[in-house]
Amino acid sequence: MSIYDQREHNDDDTRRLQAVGAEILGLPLGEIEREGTTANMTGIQSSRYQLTSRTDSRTIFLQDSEFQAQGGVGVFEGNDDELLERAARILSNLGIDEREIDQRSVLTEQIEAASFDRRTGAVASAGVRDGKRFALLTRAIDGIPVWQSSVTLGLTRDGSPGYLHLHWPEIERKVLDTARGYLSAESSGWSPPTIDYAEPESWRAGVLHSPAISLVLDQVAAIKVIYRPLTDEIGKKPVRFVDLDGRDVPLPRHFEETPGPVDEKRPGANAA
Amino acid sequence: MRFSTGGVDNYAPCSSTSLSFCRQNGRDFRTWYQFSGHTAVTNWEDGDVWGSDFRDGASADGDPSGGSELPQIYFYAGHGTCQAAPTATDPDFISVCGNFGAPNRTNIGQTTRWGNNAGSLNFAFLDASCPMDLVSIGANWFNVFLGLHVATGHSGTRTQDTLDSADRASQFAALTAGLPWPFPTMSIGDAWMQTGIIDIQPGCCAVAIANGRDIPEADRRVDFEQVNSGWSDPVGDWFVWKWVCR
Repeated sequence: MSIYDQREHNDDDTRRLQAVGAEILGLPLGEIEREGTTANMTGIQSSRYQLTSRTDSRTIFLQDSEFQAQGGVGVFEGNDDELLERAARILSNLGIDEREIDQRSVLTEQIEAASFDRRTGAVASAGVRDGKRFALLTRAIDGIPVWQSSVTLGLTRDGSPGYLHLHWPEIERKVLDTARGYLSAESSGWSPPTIDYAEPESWRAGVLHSPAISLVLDQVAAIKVIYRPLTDEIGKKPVRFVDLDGRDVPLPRHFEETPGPVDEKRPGANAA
Repeated sequence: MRFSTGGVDNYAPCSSTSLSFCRQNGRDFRTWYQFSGHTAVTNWEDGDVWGSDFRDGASADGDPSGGSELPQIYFYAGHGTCQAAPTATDPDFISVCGNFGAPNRTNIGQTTRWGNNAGSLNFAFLDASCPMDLVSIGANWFNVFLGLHVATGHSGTRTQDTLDSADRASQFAALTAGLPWPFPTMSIGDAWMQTGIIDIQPGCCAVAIANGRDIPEADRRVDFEQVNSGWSDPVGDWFVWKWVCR
């Protein structure tokens, strides 16, 4: 099954990625052992690094096979500000205005181990330790959030990039203009659409676009409404993306053709 | 690998609030996994996802029409249940709205057992509310592992909850399925640490847990095991779990 149009890899792809690796990320890539393109992903690989970018978006993935919480080349031990600054600098080196950075945070994995006595149910913890640390940058343009844009950066102990997930597509002016028009929903007497068994908790105007790993790049303005369930028995908060009339906006696709259901009525099910 | 999905949006028949993206989550998961060469077993939606699918038993999680023990990988998207302030003895739940197989709520710690008997489930991926609360993970999850390799879920509260998300499941599936190079591929644990924090509220955490005969083995599984690793079933009573919070 093919769900994409194959594009031929060319030398320009490799040269561009080598430049990103060397000049933007400061990586000692070394000899390129593999290069190629599948769908909208083009990549190069050395003995240690895989660097991939999308051909249709400002989207970069870096994986360092030696970047591990234990062993390998270790995890950056500098302060949070330094880690965040490095992430912001990658954006500016790509020509992206740092004023588009909204929230800056550092996330640290925590790891715990325990033994379990299946007969008695006794649990003995071996303690909690830190794992990898990541800078996470989110995006807003003139105060309008762009929800799926982000940068996640992990550094190795020596300060070189060990992991990067950067998805920061260019946003069309008309989409931003529409989102600006939706800002009135935040300040006026606008009421979100109602849904059963939940009440609106918050709403905000912004921009949606296709996620980092997707075969297309759509974008749309929307008002994101988060609902709070009224019953205690269930969780996962409902979310709707609507326009000023409360109508659902078409969500950005992940695939050329959005997948539908496949299975028929389940055998043994009660009649509806 | 054989995989199944269960996505539930319609909770109206159960007098609960419905969701918008869980059926599509299952379809996106299926698309990425099939694209990578995995084989779909069942892909049920809404009422065709039963509570009994997640409870131990030949006619429950072993049910040939869609039990969660039929495949090697099961992905669920739908409601769970969060406490206001969970304690070490509070249960974790999967909450469906089935047209059969009542009750709809499955108490994971009491009734879910994966990898036992003839079951083959290696990887359980739960995209729900609070199915893996950190404070009670020992009480609810250690008993579940009877051959299961790695499971993923969220820890939270009613005010630090997961949001219904159009992207979280698709991105997790894309990173774990083993898509053709040069698509990025990650271990299950690492992929969930990156994608499990999409569309969750501050204070909510993405959690991945693995079993092994000792700490190094469980560590290796939670850090490095991929769905295509082909590693044998764990045998032992050590657990390692990692988490990251928004």
